[in-house]
Amino acid sequence: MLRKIAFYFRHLMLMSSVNKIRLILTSAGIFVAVFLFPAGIIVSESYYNERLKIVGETAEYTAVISSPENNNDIKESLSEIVSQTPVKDIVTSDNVPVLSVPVHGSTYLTVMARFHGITRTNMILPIICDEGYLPEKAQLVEGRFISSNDLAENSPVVIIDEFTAELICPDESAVGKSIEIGGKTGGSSTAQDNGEEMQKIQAQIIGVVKNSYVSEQRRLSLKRDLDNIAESNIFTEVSVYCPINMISEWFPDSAVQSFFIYSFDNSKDYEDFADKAEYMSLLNAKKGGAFDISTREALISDLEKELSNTKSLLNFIMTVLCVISGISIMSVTFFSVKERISEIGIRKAFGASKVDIVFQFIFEMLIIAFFVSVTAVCLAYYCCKGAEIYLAEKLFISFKVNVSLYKLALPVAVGLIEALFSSFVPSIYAANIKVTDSLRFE
Amino acid sequence: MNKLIEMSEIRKTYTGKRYVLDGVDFSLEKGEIAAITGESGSGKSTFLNIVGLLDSFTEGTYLFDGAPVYKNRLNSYYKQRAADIGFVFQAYCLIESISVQENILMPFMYNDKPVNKSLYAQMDELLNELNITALKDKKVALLSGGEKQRTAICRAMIKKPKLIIADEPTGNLDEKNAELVISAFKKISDLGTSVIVVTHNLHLSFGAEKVYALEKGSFRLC
Repeated sequence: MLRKIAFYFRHLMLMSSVNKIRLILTSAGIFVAVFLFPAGIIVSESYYNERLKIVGETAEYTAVISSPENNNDIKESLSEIVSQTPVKDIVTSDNVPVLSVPVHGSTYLTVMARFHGITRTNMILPIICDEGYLPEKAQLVEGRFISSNDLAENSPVVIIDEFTAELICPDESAVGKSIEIGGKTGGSSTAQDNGEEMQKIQAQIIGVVKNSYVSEQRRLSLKRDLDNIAESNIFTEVSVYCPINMISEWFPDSAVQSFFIYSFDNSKDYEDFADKAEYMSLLNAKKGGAFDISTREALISDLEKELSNTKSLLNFIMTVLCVISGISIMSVTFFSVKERISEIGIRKAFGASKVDIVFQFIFEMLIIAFFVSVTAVCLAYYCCKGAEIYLAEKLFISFKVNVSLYKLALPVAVGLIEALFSSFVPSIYAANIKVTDSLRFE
Repeated sequence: MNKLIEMSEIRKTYTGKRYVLDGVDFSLEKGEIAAITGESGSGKSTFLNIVGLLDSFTEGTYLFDGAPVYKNRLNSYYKQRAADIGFVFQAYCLIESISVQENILMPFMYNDKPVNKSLYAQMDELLNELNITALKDKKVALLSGGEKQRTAICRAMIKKPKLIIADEPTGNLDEKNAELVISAFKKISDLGTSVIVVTHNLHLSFGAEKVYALEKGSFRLC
């Protein structure tokens, strides 16, 4: 029995490829519709998955409060709704140069540091990315984190990430080295800020944390700038973390912009805080002093909404393409039926039923659709992989292909469904051709 | 019962005015060979189509292997066509885009007979008998008329049907190959297969027990 089934399907598979013109036209029709679909899915899914990953990796039960103005009002408002501030982060509004080295002729690489003051000894560190100001659960690579003693004694210590360590202490461990803020670092040359000598501040590096997504992006940007050296100086920005009180000690005159990160031990406290902060923001809005509250859930929800809109657009384009290619495939199948009228008669004369004829035409189309769809998906995947390498190597843009197998199976299913629907009507037409008429057909 | 085909008062009209077959009585025993002759347009092809369950008749009664054939249920006889009837068409009716072997085995897609080693051995034997072994893997489109004719005969015979209907099976063959075909038909009829042959050449009457002439829509026994 199995032998018979194998014989049956082997014959049908053979028949699906004997007509080269039909094979090429049908393949082209399916390929056009199917190729763009996985390509779109891979690009959009990868883009949003990468962003969702960034947001998803942020610390749980954490809210970020930010306001472009009136810091004191925010502080007052917030003090009314929280009795404790587990993590409070203040960012200098201006970047401070920490390193300047000649890289090519008169071109200098100047590393600007954005200082983040922190109040707690846990591993939640602030990062700034496209989604805003995010609290990230950082991973220590070497050294230690800021301790309660450092906070109490206002120790001049800092934590940097791998990217910063690579820049200011290449080829050696950064832990234990000193960083000269506004001046020279570890023996490197002194940075100048528009010719004015800055106040020299020495801080000891006590720990190095793993690069955040933002640091990786900056590393790529710097690589691009170094590969295309022009006359002007090259600047890059890094993040440096220090005890909060050191911010006001080191930068007394700096215009400070405030972001506050509040983290909680449980969801109840966190939700309570978020609700109250939102209410306070609405009240303050009437007085013109509103502030923004970013929560992990809100960011994820925004991203998902954005992804859903992109998907809707992709689905619409895909549907239009499917309809157009479906009509063309149907035309090709009709053409094929007309061309194979004699064959249909022969098969019927030798015992093929109407169902056999319908099944044969649909099966042939499904076989073509399956192979073409799988090829289109593989090609789309490898094109995106190629784009990933090209973007990183040539355009220095970080884009990582990140898509599930299920999402890639979807375009294959679409290709098969399209083939099924577009070959159904021609197959019925073929099955209803009168056997004596088709045998006379030459 | 030894009768494979019993037809009585079969009439067929396409237009409703003129009858192509007008009261045909025909019967065929199992293992019997019948030759039919007649002028072009005399209704031979219509008769063969009705006998082969490819076309319906307008009036009359038809028993195939003892079972009545209903004139309005033509589409339901595909199983009989698959298992019991083999055709050799005048225009060969082979699928040009595939090989000789694929054409010969194609009917087995639609019947219950097994596809096994013995079937392939049987095919090889038939191909040898009809002198086309070397063409087994060749595409039909590349064959000559005579080679196509023998392939079509091989396809009709391989499933050992109860009935073979052959329309001018030696029309494109030289004398030597015609003899091979006649001998193959005789051999298969000895095994119990009935054969209806349409021929214009009465001296090649395939050793038929009965020779009919189709004239004015009805048969005359020669």
